[in-house]
Amino acid sequence: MLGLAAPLPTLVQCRWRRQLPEAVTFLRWRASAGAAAEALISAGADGWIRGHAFADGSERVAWRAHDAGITGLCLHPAVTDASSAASADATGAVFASAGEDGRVRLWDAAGRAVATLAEESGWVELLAWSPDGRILAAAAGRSIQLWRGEESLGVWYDAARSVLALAWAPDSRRLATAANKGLHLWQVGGQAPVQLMAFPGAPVALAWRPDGKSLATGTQDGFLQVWRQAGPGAGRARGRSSPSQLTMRGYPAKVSCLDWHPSRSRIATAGGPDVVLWDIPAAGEGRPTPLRLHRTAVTALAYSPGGALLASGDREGRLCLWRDGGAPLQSLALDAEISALAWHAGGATIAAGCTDGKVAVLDIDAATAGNQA
Amino acid sequence: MTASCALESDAFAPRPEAAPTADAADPRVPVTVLTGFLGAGKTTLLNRILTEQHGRRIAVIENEYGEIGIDHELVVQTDEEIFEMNNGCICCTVRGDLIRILGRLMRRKHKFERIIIETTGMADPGPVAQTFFMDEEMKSKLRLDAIVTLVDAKHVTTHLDDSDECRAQIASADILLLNKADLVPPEELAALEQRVRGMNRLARVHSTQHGRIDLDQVLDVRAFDLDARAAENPGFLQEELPFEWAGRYDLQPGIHELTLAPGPDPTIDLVFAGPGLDDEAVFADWKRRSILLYSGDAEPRSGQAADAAAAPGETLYRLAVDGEQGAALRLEVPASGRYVLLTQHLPEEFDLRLAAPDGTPLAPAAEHRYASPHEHDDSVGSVGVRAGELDPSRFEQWITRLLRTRGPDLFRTKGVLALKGRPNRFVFQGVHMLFDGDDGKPWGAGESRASELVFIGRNLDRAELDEGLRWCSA
Repeated sequence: MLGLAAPLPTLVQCRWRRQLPEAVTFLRWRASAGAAAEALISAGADGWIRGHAFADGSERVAWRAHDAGITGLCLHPAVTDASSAASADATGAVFASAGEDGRVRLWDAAGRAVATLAEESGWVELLAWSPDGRILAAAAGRSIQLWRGEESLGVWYDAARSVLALAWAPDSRRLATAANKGLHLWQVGGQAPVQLMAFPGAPVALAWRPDGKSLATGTQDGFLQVWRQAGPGAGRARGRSSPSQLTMRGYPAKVSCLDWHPSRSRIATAGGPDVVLWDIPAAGEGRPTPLRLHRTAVTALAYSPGGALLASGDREGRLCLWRDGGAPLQSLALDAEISALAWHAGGATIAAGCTDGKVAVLDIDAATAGNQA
Repeated sequence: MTASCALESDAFAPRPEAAPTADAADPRVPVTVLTGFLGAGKTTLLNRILTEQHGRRIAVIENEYGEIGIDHELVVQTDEEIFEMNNGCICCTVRGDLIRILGRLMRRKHKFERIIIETTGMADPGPVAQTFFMDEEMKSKLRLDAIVTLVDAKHVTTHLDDSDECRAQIASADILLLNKADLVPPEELAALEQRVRGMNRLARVHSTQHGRIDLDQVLDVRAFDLDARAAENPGFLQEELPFEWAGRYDLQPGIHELTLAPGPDPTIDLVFAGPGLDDEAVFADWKRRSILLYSGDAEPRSGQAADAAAAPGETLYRLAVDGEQGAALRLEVPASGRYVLLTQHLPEEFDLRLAAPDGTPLAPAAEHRYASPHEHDDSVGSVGVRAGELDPSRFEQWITRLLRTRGPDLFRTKGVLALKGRPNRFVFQGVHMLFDGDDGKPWGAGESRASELVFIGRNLDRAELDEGLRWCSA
């Protein structure tokens, strides 16, 4: 059941909710395109992908995509944003998924299989479509595979270390990968990767700043590492200290949640019950703002598309909404660990998925929220 | 166990609300770790568990290169990857692959009832165990139940001699299964059991064939719970004896002469007691008293003719054994009866002889040999130390420093302590540098408040540990 922890003001209204049979692993919004209506796409630990109408949550499409839990779900960029310049995938694929059954698969809008790109013996744990929608990257164990449509572009392999996270740069030309003790940058069409950062810990999360000039990673041992592209005049600064790499410490647990503000040089992070906002200047140290409302570890973080609001979910199912600067706006109880958060492109609706299979779509009174900001 | 690291010490802060950690309502899912060399029978035992617990939701995590043949719905293969925690502890490592896989498995609506992790034959169980105390998510959702180590009784002896991994697996175990016991003669099995007990005094040891054992002995044993078993059995260290041999002799009044030839050590410690040792309860009591005497101060004897005769009683004699002359010690027997000699080393090492007042050589009426860490020169062993009441702040200082410096060599540490000013037993345990302590049962009115600690580790120095604990005495 969805309950409001704080009754007033009624900034948040439940648009609809659904109970799915298994834990939600991913939520993504699909923009309307032609006849296809806007829909919330969910992936589950039961291997199913489902589409629910934005308006009322009615189920539009559902299919069993994997024989075991889904570990990765991507929507082709052409269908997530109506204004996207990305051209549709050559194969007609709209969805890409990866699962505990070792498969990477492509699907069309109706959930018909387009291709099975890989069948590994172990779990495929990471999946990412380049922002221009041209290349799909998946990682399993120590290897990274790349495809353009159904065509394999090759396999990158690190004999020594597992791939722990991957993230496409906004330019779609560079893929950042995280492995124990460092980050690498691979150039599409290039040869060997460049080591971007080295540090003592093991990364568990990785995120590019939308302008592509910074990259952040959170580690198992409770550190946040941020790489900054050297700007003009950085050559002089380089002599003082290392301006390109910032290390932030003090988290009580692994830093598993990261989300950059869409326009500011600010990143929301969590490694434990506190959300910590860091303002990262072009040079010098970052400044932290801790947000303290959660009592259990934060499990999901997401900035609204315009960056006016930040949503955070935790292990006991508490969902908190914050203004950009960190002021608390609303707190709700969803009663089970929040495993997925997805803002609708309009910035006034958020979908939350839980490990008990609950999906809730919440409308936020944007005017009220905005007035109070 | 809430993990602390030897760099912190909040485990010692008094906890007014003695929260039970092992109640039936504990929602955390139990994890059993199966270790042992290839061929020791891990897969056979695993298949037995899955067959007998058919219908239960059990997730099995096994290494990529494991023995094959598990027919089970949920088997996840993993590639062992060890992460350092960089918190100042050189031995704080976790298994990153397990954190990822278990993280996913625990984020489900239909939860698993049990997790079984089968490690590679060469894996060190240390990082696996630490994973459940170092990662906040693992700690809150999962409960390490026990480390079960299988040993191939027929082939383990060679591994014991040449493999650090094999010794680490035995030293880390809560449950030790000497499997394939039917393939070795009984005396060989007994010797093996003595040897592994010498390495790990805390483990429960069972001999098995084809992994056949009552699963209650292997599952839900709650070996890592602080309040459970250890606190109920404060004498859990009793089995460990600091002496290697006890000989019971029927003696007549008069001065007897004990002679020793030069041996491997320059001294030998011994306790002489009696009469009345024909009574088993008296003998058991003297074994117990001797343990305490061995951890106390010794009365030196030169081993020369000028020495005063030794009287039976609560004295630990430290006899110097000359490299060429050997040693002699006169024993004064006040009344006829059965006496006992408890010696630090085996009699044959020093060609120990006892002669009656008329010079007649005497043979013991009964003799007992006890496993010894020295017997096989194993670098891995158990050392138990005892003291009375401890000063809490001194103990904290000592154990923190000890674990910080010796953590990598300490596989397991367990203890039941009497801390001054605290009405309850303080139950303590550690894995390498991680440790935790909590209040156990209250001390009864008639109970003597005593502290006992067992260390299982590599190259342990009993004297150093003894001295350290004695420094903590209140």
